Amino acid sequence: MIPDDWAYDPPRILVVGDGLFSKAFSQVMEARLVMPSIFDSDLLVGLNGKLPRVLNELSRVFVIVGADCSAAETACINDSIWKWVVQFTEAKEEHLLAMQFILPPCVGNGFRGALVASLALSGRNSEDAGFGFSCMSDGLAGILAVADRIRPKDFVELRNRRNTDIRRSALERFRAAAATSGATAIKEAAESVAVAFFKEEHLLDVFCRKPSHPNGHRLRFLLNQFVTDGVTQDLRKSLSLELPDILI
Amino acid sequence: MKSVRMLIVEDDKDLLSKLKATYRSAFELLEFDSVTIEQAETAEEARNLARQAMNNPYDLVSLDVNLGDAHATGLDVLSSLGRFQSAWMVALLTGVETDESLVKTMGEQKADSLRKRLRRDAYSRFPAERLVVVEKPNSSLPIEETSSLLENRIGQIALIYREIDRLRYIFRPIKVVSLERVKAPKGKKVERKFIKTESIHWQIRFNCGDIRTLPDKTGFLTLHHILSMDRNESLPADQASMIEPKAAKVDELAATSGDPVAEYFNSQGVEWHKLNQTEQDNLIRAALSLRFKKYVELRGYQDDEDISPEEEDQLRSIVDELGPLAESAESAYLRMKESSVTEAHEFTAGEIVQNDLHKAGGDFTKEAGRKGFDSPNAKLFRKRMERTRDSLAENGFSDLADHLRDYLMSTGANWSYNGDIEWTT
Repeated sequence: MIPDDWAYDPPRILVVGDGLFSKAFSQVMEARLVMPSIFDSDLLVGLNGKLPRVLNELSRVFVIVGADCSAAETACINDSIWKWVVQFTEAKEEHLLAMQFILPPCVGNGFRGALVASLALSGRNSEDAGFGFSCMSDGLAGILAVADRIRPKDFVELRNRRNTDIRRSALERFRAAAATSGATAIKEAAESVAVAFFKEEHLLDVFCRKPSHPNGHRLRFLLNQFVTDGVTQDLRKSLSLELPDILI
Repeated sequence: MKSVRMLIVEDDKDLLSKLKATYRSAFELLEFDSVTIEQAETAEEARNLARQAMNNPYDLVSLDVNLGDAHATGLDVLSSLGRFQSAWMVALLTGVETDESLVKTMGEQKADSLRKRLRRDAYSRFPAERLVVVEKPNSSLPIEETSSLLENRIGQIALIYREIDRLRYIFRPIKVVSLERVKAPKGKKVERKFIKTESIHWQIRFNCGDIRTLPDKTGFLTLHHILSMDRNESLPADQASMIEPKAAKVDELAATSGDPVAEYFNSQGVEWHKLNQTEQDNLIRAALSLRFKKYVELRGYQDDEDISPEEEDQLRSIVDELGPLAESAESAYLRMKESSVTEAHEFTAGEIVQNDLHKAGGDFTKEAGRKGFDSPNAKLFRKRMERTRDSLAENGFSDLADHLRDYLMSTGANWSYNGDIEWTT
């Protein structure tokens, strides 16, 4: 739920996170702090069924990733922020925003790689695409230097980029095949997913609904069955039932 | 003087310069004195220009669909132009039906999907009456033929622009039906608290689609002003009311007088400085009296925290309308409120009976300071419940209204006569 006072004093900078670092960082940046759990509740509908345009001024979001937060959960936070932006701004999906992820020092490259996959940023300069990555240990100067380099982008760019992403396209084909097509088409689609995620099957988590890891695990199991054992009637049935609840 | 400011979005540099020259000559043929052309070669550049042109829209945008980008097409640019109202007319130059390079750029599947959804999507992204979809001449044709076809089509676009430009400002009178609160004489109960009222408003479109609904007189004056202004002047909706005739007059006279009340009356066509003090006082009283009654009523609801969003808007518009007189209205309202608090309360027959009945006990008297008097929250709660009940009854939910009335009556005594309860509304 959007905090009430935003209607009178709309936020320009938002810090999403919990813990001491987030609190201190939001104070330094004179930004509004929100807990990641805020995105779990339903969107607020204003008076007369109209949505208030409380995020019209929002230009920058810092997502402080907690040490216990997975890449898939962070990707979900990103999607929720965009959902809010689309709902609560006048320009909707064309509202410009600079998003920066501040990662804990303990995470490895895999975490960042998973986020890059979720944002369809492979092979691109992420800062030109509206996203920045820093580490908590970079210090304020380092974090702000990255923030300065990010070029604000809108949701249309992210959506268009995702639409042309090989991994996402393969999963879309698989989803479509599972819903309507025959055994051969499903097997082909499953193989194309396996190729797109070759040696990076763990990335399937960021394309799955919450709880992302168990859902990702189930998806990997189903794909493995289709590719190696072929398509049985039971497997097809369980796929068509389960897939809509697994994939984002 | 006729002028046109346009944007050409085309990724092919040669074609871009050809388009610029052709558009320029086409508009010059139609006797346009000034043709300003801006250009963009990528979808991103064009979308940024569309964003920037929000307050100064392009008259015409010539837009290519395939911009050589696998991620974004001209349709995305079209969405931005529509969303930010940054173009009056768009000519969508498309070669997607015949363009073979499309498959190379986007892949066969995507190109095919773009072909299929082009027309349907285009019209959902930009108002159809101001969007022209034109087929680009096929590049496989001989150069002379391509050039002549292009000139011909751009000539047609310029002609269409000239026609559509006449509709730049549409206007129409509409009947607005609203619910007005019925003001009951003191001590009398009204059967209906709200009645339906009808009034004429003008819907006026400024520039690129901003539609404003203005009440009869203001709307008519604005319309008159728009029709008499230079066609090349840009008039975004947020500036429209500022340059209405009466407001324009205020600006002229502001420098000479410096007195906001004088400026207000000067703008209404009254020669304020020629009036003596008594006449000026009378005029202020008369001007206030037009809207004051409603102002007092709505301010009362606002003070009781019992004002609906519509009534709040109405109050705001009255304050705007009163302009410099709003302060006088507010102080008059506060004076009235003070006097009504101090004035002796006249008991109605029911209250007298009730007071008499409960005199002996003393605790149940509905008088200020006594235990039986409703707390402000209780009063507010009761008022809201009653309004809800009346509104339900008026809107045909009589069963529900009866139920609510019974509920109020059955528990009303407890609410009225226990002053120690904290009321939650």
